[in-house]
Amino acid sequence: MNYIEKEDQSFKGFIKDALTIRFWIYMLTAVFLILSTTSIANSITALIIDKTILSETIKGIFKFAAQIPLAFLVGRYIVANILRILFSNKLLSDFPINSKLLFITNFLYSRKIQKEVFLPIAADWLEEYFEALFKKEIWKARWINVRYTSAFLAAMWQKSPIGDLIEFISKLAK
Amino acid sequence: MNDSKNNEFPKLSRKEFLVLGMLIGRGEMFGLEMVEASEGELKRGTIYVTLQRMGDKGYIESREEPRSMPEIGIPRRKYWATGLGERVYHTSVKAHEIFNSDFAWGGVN
Repeated sequence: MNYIEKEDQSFKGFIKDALTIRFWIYMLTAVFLILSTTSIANSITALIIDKTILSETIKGIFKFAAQIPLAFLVGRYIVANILRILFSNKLLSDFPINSKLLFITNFLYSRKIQKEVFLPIAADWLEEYFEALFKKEIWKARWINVRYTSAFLAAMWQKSPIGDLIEFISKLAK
Repeated sequence: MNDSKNNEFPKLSRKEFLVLGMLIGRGEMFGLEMVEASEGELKRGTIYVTLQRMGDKGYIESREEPRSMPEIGIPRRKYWATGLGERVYHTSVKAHEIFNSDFAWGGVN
């Protein structure tokens, strides 16, 4: 098979993919995620640069220059990971799916916090995940992965020193 | 009993109040059961942080619940309210009742 035939087949494959519902779900999700993450990155940049004492023209140039790599980085990693969790068939066979996160929390947090916060989240994660797989609800299982990944990260944030500091300040403010 | 720590009026956050209410009303529960029973008020990402803090304050206790034989995986934790937790909850309910009653408004006026 020569190069042109290969190219032709890959083009045919692309057209074949483009006619499936899965392809359009993938595309719409990707566009939504890219737009939302880019706008988050833009807002953060604007928030930081607006606080500086610079002329409006220089602020504009800085914003433009900073937004491109920042939006790319946020989009590149967050969007890619969410899409991977949602669409990868390989992940569905991985057991346990949260082992990497548990490994990180085991390294960063005390044994008590690991036992009382992160292990129960992981237990619930597996409970819901395998229940969905058992019922053959593949999309629900994928959604559970996204939801519990965010729950895990939220718990990590809350138990981090910054989270504790914010809680302490909010208590003082009350 | 006269030291200031023991006499300090216990403050319950909205989430803690909700959790204690469920544990006192329904008995022992898993974290996920509380999330589902709360109808959106408790989140999967925050429930165990709240439960851990409540455990540190002595309002609740927990134990690992071993899984029944065909099931494998990480054991889940079951929670229940302690005597102190029940006391704090009922005190909080009474305080709310008094605050919302005519007696409290009469006192102000």
